[in-house]
Amino acid sequence: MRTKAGLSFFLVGVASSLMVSGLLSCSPEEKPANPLVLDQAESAWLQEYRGKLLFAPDPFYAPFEYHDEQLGGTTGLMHDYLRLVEEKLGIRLVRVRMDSFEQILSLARARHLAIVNAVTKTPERSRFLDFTEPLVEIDNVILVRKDRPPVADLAGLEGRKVAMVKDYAVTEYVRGKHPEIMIETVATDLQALLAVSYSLADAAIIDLATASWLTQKQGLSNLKVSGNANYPVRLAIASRNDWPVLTSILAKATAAITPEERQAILNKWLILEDTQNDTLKRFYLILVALAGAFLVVAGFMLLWNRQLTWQIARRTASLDQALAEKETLVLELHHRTNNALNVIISMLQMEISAQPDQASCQAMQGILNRTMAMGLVYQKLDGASRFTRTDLADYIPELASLLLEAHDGSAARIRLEHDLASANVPYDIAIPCGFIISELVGLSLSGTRTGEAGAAVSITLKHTDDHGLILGYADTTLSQPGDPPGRNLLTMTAEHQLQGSIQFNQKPGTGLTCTLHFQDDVYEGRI
Amino acid sequence: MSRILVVEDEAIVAMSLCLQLQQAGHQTLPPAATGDRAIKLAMEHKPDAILMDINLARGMNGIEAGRTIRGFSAAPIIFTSGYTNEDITSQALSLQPAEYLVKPLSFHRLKNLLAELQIRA
Repeated sequence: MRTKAGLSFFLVGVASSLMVSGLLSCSPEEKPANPLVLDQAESAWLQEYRGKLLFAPDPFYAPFEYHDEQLGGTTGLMHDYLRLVEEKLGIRLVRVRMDSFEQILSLARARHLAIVNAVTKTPERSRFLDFTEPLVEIDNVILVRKDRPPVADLAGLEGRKVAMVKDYAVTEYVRGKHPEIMIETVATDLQALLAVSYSLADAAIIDLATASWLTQKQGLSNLKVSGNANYPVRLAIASRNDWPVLTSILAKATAAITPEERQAILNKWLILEDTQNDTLKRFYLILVALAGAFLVVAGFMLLWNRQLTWQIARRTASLDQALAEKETLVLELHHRTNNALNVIISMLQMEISAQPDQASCQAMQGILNRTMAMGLVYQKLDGASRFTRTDLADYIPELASLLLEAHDGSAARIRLEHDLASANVPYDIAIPCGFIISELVGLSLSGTRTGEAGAAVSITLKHTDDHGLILGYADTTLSQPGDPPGRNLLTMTAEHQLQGSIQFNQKPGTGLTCTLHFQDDVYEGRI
Repeated sequence: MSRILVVEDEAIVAMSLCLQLQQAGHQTLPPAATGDRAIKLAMEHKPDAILMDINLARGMNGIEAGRTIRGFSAAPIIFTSGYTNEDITSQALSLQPAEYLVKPLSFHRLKNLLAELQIRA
């Protein structure tokens, strides 16, 4: 079936050039080649007529058989078949040059020609010719001008003027079957097409391959294939029918043509067609190249994207690791600071235990309290998920309890009450707040009070509208607050370090109240 | 009089704790700075309570030492540490200690705890 497919492709190219499709025909069924064996009579006949067999090629039946000025001789698809037959038989036909197919048929009718090539069998021709099996089969099509309504079949040509080549089989067929069609006979296929192109005829009927060949060669761009004549061209090699031996010889010779030889002939003319359709071929080539380029770019983008994803994942993992290491380092620093402060606390505790002088003890207790205030901040930071901030609502009550407990169990005598709003502050704020609480607790612990029972210290923390904080301390039963050395430090810490203000109310009988007002963003942005 | 083993690598902190415990009427064993030393003292002297720091000298930490001691002694273990992160506290609490006290220590709290544990002075 290669032959059929190959020819179909050839015709697709032809049809597309004429802006139509679906009018394709096929070659005859492919048959296996028979070995060429001539009997004795045939061989003797061939020997006798060698160099005497006349043949007149059609000069205008391109692409099947035509005269090519550049080649200086006859060429064409069917002509190649005939050359193959010549080779197989070992003969060379004597060429006779005629100007038209009409003349060729006239010579054949008069028995002057032994062989007529590229012809379709008709009843009229069968009177004087015998035919081999068809070698090529192709549809005859109806061609009209592009600006005219389409005509699908022969019935649509009733009363129309149709240009057809004289003595063609299809002309003979149409004349017999459709007398209502006004046939204008011309000498060649080109003349038929020109008649339509210049509006001298309404339509032309010629085979599709020839139509394609000529429209391209002659640049007849105003024609279109409109319909099918439903009478295909079946091209064969014919011989004069009064020489039955020649008919037999030709039948054997054409039967000996192998599928490979048929394909070689078709390939030759397919290549010709490819050359003619170079633009189309180039278009497909560019299309394929563009698709290839797109695939390459898409592949590159995909690879690049994957590489970026991999790099991001690697960099993220690296940053995560670095962050974890830094977190561990910060935790360890906090822990070691806390440890160092605990060592100082322990030293002070031992000194206080061994020191008999009450004033010295009190001074050292003040230092101890402040150190505990700092130590507790670092302990809170150690356990916090944020390494630089701590919640005063958590820190201050714990510190106050620690200080009261550290003072020989004063927690049992002084009850601690607190109402603190949550306030996450940096340790630059928490430590001075701790100092202030430790000083105030020191005042409570060292002072004298109206009644020991029911003593209570109250600590409050509130947010203000201006994003500030108010820390309140009240010890209402304190009749005479102590005056530890750190009293000045209290004011200094509030006003200098916290950039805030502190107010004392310290009157006999009303106890001690202290209010500290400060902004929690004093150290914002500090490292 | 109860005997208390203080396990603490910081000498001054160890001395201070021992001093305060003694002032409160307890007997203290010589303080241990390493886990090995703590295990040895616990085996030899069978203390009534053990005050165990977590960060110790020479490799073995307080949690590992406590786990070994728990194998042969039922004495209550009180962990003392500056660490409050979840990873370490959960490891320590898996040994079911008597308490986990965070530094800076409140000795008053420690004294009350020993009383609750009936570790009498």
